[in-house]
Amino acid sequence: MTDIGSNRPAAQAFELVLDKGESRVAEFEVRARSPLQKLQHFLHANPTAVPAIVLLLAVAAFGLIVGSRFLSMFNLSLIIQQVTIIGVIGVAQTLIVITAGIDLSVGAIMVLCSVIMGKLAVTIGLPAPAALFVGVAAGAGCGVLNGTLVTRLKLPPFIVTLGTWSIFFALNLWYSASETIRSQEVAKIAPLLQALGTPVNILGARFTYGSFFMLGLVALIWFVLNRTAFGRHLYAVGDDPDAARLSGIRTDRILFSVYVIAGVICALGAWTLIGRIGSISPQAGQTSNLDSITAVVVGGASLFGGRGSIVGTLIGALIVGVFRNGLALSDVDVLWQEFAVGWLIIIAVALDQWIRKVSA
Amino acid sequence: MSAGPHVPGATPLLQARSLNKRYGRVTALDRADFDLYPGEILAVIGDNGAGKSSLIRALSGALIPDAGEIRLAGGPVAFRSPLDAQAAGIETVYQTLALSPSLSIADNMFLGRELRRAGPLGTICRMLDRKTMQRIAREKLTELGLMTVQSINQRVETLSGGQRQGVAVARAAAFGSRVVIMDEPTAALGVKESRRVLDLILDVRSRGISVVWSATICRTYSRSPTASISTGSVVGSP
Repeated sequence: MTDIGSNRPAAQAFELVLDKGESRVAEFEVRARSPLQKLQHFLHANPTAVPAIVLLLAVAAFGLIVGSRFLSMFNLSLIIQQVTIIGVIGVAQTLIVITAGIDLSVGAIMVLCSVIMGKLAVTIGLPAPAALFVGVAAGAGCGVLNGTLVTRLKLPPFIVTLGTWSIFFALNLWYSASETIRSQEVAKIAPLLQALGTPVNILGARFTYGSFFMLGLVALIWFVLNRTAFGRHLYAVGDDPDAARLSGIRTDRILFSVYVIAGVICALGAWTLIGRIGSISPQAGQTSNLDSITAVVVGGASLFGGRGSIVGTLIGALIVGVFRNGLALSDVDVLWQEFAVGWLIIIAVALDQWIRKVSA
Repeated sequence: MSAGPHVPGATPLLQARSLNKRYGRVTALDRADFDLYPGEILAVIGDNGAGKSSLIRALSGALIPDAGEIRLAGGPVAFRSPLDAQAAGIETVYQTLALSPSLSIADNMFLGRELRRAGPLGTICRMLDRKTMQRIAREKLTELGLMTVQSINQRVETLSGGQRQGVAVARAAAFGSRVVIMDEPTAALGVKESRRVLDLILDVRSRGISVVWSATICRTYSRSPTASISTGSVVGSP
């Protein structure tokens, strides 16, 4: 090794004072922070902390107001059943939101897939596993359309999925002929389609296979997001697409595949939907598009991309479920449930903005 | 280790001949020649719009020249993308740094070339080898004297401008086996941090990697060769 110092350029006039000053550059200054700043930093480093705290507070508050009717094992497990569909669809929505996109068509894909599964199995008489498979393939196909429009035509995801929402819903009405397949018929001909509605009783709590299916899906996607290169690339693409591209990530391929994966998850959501309501109706799940976005946003994800977690979304869905269930048990009119959920969204986004302003 | 001016007669490590690039009626590169010798730190200086970035981007694969030839260690190469250049051992620190703010330092160092676990966990489950990546990232930052950041798992958005620059340089030094190119590494930094980056450049070179860096203002870098560029042509070279 040669002496690096000897190769150092002669200091220029404006640099002469440097030797007297601090020589540390890449070091952390520990500045005094106010308690509020400390909180802001904590929340910035732990994005799921906010929804987790809100969920605990909400459960405690309704426990105090409503009492044992709310806090019973049966009711708490009922809330989990009630959020199963939004939980599953929310997983799909989270993936899209992390890439700085949004998918308004998730609910429509789910209903379309449920109708396809039901029609094929019950009306046409295809074996139930085959009908299930075709339904999932149809979900993937919907994702291919969304992904192609976003990556090839470079259209904004909001516009693309606003369009495909209508398209998928129209296809759903056409294919189902606006007719509902009754629960008894499904149970008789294709019980597999209702399998996720099978109840499981544990210590007075009543779960369904669907609840466990949702938790399994959350665990799987958590693994993908946090422990695989694909997951890391998803965040990178949502954060700064140019930086991701210069790092060698094929951003269009990532974006395309995320829409396809979302389509498949929506099709799996269709399976849980049939399990939950028993019948197969082209009018079911009308609110799930926006409910999934609510769960994602309340769960701490940022619509600007790069931030968000799957556990956060699950908690977000549970928060909405707790509010609806608790208010219903308090004999509050349904309209006030909507009122409360509306404020929840606004407060969640305002909090996200505040946390993002954290000074480095 | 040889430093500074090259030995006469040596083969240039990275060479460009008669590079041309036009954007419509604007000529960005006009028969630009370029020679970088092994173990050399070469500064490309020129005013805004002189063609520095175009030259730098052509060498790093981010720009495909209309005409001309680039040779690496004597053999012609045709980079179609930054990945091609990376595969050839040429790493670039872009002016924008190309870091992902919401990911950790370790994630950023390995972004786009992550290491997977050995065995079925890696091949079937595609599981990342986070421990090894964190260890290597820590080593690389320590080598460059930057490992005063609290944690390798800290998000890049919590770092200062100089620290981010350090992470980007460490990433380039970790993977660049032959050449590290830095596009205006001091443009966004203060005097103190600029000085530190220039020291970093020396550190990188001391590891046997040639360095090309660009700047707008001419700093007297006494023993460093300089190629000055003006209106798309290299007007002065070592």
